[in-house]
Amino acid sequence: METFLHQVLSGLATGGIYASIALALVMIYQATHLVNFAQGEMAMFSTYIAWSLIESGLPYWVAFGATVVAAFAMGIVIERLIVRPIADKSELAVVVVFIGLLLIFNSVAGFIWTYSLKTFPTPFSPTLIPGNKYLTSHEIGAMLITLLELGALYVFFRFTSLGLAMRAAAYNPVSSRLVGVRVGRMLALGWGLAAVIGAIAGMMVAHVVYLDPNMMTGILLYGFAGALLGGIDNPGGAVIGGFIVGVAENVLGAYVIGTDLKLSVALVLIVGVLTLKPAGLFGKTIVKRV
Amino acid sequence: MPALLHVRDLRAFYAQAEVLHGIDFAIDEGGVTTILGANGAGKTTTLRAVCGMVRTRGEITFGADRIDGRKTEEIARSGIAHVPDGRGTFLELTTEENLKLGAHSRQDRAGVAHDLAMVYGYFPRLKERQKQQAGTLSGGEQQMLAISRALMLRPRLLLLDEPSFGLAPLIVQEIFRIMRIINREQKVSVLLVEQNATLALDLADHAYVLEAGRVVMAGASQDIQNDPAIRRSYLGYQ
Repeated sequence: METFLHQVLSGLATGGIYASIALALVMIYQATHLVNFAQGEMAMFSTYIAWSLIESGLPYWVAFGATVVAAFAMGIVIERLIVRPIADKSELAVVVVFIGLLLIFNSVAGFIWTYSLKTFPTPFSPTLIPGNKYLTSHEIGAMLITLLELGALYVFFRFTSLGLAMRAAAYNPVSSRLVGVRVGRMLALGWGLAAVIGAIAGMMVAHVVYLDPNMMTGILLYGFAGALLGGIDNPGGAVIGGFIVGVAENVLGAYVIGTDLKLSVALVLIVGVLTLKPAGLFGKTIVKRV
Repeated sequence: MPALLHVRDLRAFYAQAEVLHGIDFAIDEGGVTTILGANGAGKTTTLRAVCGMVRTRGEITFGADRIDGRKTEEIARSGIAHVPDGRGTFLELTTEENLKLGAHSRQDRAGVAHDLAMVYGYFPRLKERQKQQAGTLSGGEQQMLAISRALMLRPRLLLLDEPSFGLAPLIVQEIFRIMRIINREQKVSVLLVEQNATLALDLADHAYVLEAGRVVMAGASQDIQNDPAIRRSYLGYQ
């Protein structure tokens, strides 16, 4: 029973990472109706920036803050320079560009920082947050950061007029323009925020899985599975989906299929959801009357 | 008095096809102007052209400023609120969120709160549906919401695209009754596009008749209403 509890809790800890990535994917999906396959690599790249800053002697939280700013800028630049010019092209063209971005980030990171594994520090020392028999200090700290971040995003999108305008711009750009919402700016902001969410997830997970250019590949897959499971058009659902995937992966890996086949949990979930319940567990069907 | 909106030799294009062939019209401050015409005459396109939603040539002056070639969101911010055909409801959001979006470009919190109470006063049904997802509202309620959302911008000019479309006659009458009150109380000028000529001429003081992308008739609503030739040719009376 104790080990089971341990597996569930530590699954929730990784689930927070998947939930973040799922949320980032959903934010871009709502605006473009496409999955940004480069989301994971953008996060990985940001994590390398954090690593470099920490290596150069900056305190962890200063590097953390600087990385958040850098990731935000990176998201905006990508939207402005790469996504916007092709926004009205075919979906296939956009998907190819996303995959191209994935490959570019991956090889540029390898070129700059090499492919060898790097350790990534954690700010959560056992003296700051005592670990317990179920979770390490880092797992608890990472979960707190993730929950704090998700809470802040919820408040932002639900209760601020800028958050409302961003949702509106994603749902209905034509009507948004008619009420004076600067849609282009909102979309860029969305990319910036999604990149920040990814960067924080990357910095939290790098301590666990070690930093290398392929660090996020599997995590993106789990995040995607979580997003689909919760509902690709529902941010809250995607977050819950991410946590479910984290727990399922850990428990199944420990008791049923073994660690080698863990990643297949994600694939089975993706195929399963798409065939059995494409809207996901919490996917909203928008009621429409005419 | 100079016109609030002045349109000269306006042409509009969908891809390469020209659908408005150089139309001229003007809207007086505080008045209601209607554009009548059959399906496909270019009524909706005219409103879209004013808002920069289609490619245009020609001159559009709003107040003292040229607005042709500007972005739609900037035109809206300059004080033109457009209730588009299909109503443009944010289906996923609540009634109140739709209304708050209408006031997106405004900074005066107190004024926005005041106007929110004002539109709930005009349309009490919306107040009842405050927290409801807008996609679940009836067609009439969504039309009320669209007009209210536009008013939340506190516009100088309101563009209305077929507010009667698809609605039961009683609801249409109700909406037009309130439009008249709004025009009087809020001093907002209105450009109304309608297929229902009787209703439109009743509300408007000035009318233009469009046919195949050209203005074929313009004048005071009463003159247009009473001209037997126009009644026969364009307004569907016998």
